[in-house]
Amino acid sequence: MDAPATTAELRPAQSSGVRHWKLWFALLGGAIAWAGHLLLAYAMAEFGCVAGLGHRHVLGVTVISWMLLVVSALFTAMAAAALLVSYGIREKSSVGAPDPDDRSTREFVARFGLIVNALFLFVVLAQSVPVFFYWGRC
Amino acid sequence: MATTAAPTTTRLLDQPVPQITAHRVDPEPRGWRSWVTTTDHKRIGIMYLVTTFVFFILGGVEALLIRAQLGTAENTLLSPETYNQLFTLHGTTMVFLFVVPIMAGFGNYFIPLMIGARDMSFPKLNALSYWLLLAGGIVFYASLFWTPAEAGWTMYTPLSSRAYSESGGVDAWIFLIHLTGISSLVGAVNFYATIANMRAPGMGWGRLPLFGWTILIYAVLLILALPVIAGGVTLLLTDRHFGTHFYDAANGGDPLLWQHLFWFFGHPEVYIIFLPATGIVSMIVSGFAKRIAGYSLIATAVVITGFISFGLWVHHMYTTGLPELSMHFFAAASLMIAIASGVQIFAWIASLWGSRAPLTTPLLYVLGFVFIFVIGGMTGVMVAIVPFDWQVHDTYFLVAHFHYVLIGGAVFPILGGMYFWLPKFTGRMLNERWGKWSFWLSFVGFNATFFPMHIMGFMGMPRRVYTYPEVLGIGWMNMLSTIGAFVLAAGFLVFVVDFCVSFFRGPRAGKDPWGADSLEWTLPSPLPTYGFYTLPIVRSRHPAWTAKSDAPVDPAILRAVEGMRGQPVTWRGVFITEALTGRPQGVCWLPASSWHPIIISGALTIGSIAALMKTHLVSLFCMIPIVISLYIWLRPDAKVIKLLRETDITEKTGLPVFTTGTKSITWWATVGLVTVLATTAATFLYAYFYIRLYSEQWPQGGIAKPRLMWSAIAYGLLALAAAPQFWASRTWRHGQRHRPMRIALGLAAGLAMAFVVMQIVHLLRLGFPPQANAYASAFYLNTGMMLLYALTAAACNVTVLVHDLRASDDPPEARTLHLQVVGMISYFVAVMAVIIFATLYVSPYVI
Repeated sequence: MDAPATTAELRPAQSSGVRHWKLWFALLGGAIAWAGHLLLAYAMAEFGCVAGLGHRHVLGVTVISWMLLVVSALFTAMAAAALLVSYGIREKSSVGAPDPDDRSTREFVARFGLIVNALFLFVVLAQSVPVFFYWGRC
Repeated sequence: MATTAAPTTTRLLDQPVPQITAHRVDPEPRGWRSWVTTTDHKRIGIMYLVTTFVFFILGGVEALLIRAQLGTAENTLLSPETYNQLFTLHGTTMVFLFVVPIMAGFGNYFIPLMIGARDMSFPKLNALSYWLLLAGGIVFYASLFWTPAEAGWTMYTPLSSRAYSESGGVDAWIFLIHLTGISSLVGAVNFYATIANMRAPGMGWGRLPLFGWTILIYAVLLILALPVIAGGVTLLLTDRHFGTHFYDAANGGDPLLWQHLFWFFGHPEVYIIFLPATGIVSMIVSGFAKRIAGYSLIATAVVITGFISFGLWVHHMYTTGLPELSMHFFAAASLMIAIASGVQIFAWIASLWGSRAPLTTPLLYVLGFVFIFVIGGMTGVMVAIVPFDWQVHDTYFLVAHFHYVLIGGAVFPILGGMYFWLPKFTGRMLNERWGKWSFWLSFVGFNATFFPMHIMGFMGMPRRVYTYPEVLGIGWMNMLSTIGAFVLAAGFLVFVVDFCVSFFRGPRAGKDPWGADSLEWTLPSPLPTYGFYTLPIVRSRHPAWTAKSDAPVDPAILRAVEGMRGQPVTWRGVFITEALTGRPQGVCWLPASSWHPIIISGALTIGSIAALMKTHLVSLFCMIPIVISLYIWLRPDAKVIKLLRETDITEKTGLPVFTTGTKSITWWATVGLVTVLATTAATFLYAYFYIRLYSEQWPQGGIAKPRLMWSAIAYGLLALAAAPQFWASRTWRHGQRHRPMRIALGLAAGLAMAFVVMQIVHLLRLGFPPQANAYASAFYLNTGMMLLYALTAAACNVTVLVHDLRASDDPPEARTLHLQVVGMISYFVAVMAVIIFATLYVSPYVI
């Protein structure tokens, strides 16, 4: 497996063929989805309820609850996408990195992304549950 | 692949260490001066630990006085006022002066050692961080000489407003928050830059010691949370002394704004305390169990806990009348964080299960921590549930809960860490028998003190009352609690005595008395001044166990490590490594001792106390040494530049000494600075919109909506200043031409200054002062912030321009780095210009 050293210059870490943005999305996508969901849900609930949107109904459900459902669906999808991307990267993590140090780092980062995204997906879903108990009020 | 079987790390490590005769550029001060001017992370770590322990003792004495008062019903030992002062002093001391900074003490001492570096990335800033902590403590305790604050460590408004807290005690608390806040922010930037960029070759993220993970997240949490409380207390200060109305309901403000800002910082603060403590626990467990189960899970749990901690602040405000719907989002997030904490608990149990780890004092403290913290965690889940919290809010149940979390979750690991690592500090072992006495007294005393408080809370005893009627029937539980507090204090006292005796008479420790696995255990105890003579190459997650590996090493890395062997001898140097993989990509020069940190913090201490005593002329006078010190500190040092230009380190290591972009620790620190500025701006914007939300009329008090044209031009000019800045970087990158770069920098500074002048004219013609109402206060606040940001951007551009004119023989990489740093600040200011203009001038027409 080892090719002889041709230069004493330090090489940058070799690419595994994973695009840069994908790597970052796999690492942070779930966390961003969770933070976005919580902050938007909080802002909508607090600002919306104070502004009186909790008294306006469409199909028997408050405008705020509709908005929160849309926001929850969007951020759930984002967290799920981050989970899928991190799963894909994990599959590729041992490919294209002949250096054992690089390989171990990449495998760790891929595993890390997988666990983080799975948990954040779960948390976004848990945070969406209260909406179903407040269809008609704030 | 570039590896070879011939060279190994064993050959390097087996070479003898020569006598180190000089390891600084300048002569090293001796005696007491060597301590007050030190930039050595080990000495700074020791100073942190000693100072915070002194504050711990002060906070402990205050706690004992509180318990003495509450021992019997209708006791008159303390007056209500004194009681209020004591619980304010106790809470503030324990949180801001003991348990948060002591983690910085552990981090300072051990992070560079654990990651194989010779120091922190910014040693002078590190010293400043310590001295500012001490300054904050002195200024706060100076209030004992007049009237200490009485509003509790949370300083809720309106109780802390001038109408109800006339004395300077609240102001002393505000200065404490500012001084220790800057201290923690400086330290946090230092920690994350060090961990991201100075790890030993081969230490990828998957091999970073778990204590390193927790300190990294501790630093990130501080950077994101502290500017919020700093912003909040600034508003409190202006309300108290400049007549603004942010928290004044009578003039359009809202006292609940304070609670939001305080707890947005305050809840992550719990994890700022808890997470490094879990790092200490992980290191002790892996040291004794000789393994750590679920490393990846623990690291992930640490990161997730850190993130989610920002989503819990509202659970401190369930009783403030918020919409039920929004409270339940936070209830869900609060319940979820238990999963991440639980993962760590199970991983430690799994590591210890069947490991036959000896039940020594550090491990006893870890087991005590697990027992106590699990109870604290479970009561945490209980109070996360909205209806339950409504029942127990502001009762002694809460007091029990947070002491189970903070003492169980932090103080027990800290004491365990002391028994574990003190041999590394002093070279001597502590006494096991005394250690066990210390543990059992602390454990029994703690539970006797705080467990009855759960029941007292259920029975309706409110917190922060100086006494209670006998008919309540809780007298015996309070007496038990008081006796427990004195037993707990005895446990801590045994530790102090054990430490003092062992320091002089304890048996010699040797390198690694526990057979633990991290890099600090590969060095002699006590440590040599220079730390690592040969920088380590990390081959596994347990580097101390695989230090002398015969596995092949990339010859380029071996060459770099061999080349760096001399660097503690002539000048102190360390690798800058790639953030992801830990691959060396540059060499960083580390500065020598300095008087500037202590001069700056000394002047700030005197200036702050003078301000509290209303001798403002003295405060102004104190600015002089600060400005002079900062000027000398920040001025490029020709001697160092010359030394680095003439060094042969690049030939020896194959690595550059002048680095730019992500290869430079300065670049990483600037990212931290911009994050702090952005969080501060977000805090002030939140204050604006929060006040807007609860105002029926906007702008308040019949003030006309702001005119657009003049300010659109001013803010447009400021946003446009980013363009010449971009041009300056571009022309330098493509050809390194000085003249166009200088013109562009001058233009960027000119545009920023044009904004400043135009906005000052605008403010003078506004027609309403900041004291008019809360809208006016928020308007001036955000405008003032933009003026400061614009002045900062202009000053940065001018500094780089002047430096280019005066020292054009600097290496081009230095100029590139200057432009990158100034560019980051200028682009940030441009983005903020757009956001603030939209908020202050456009939003009143829209919402």
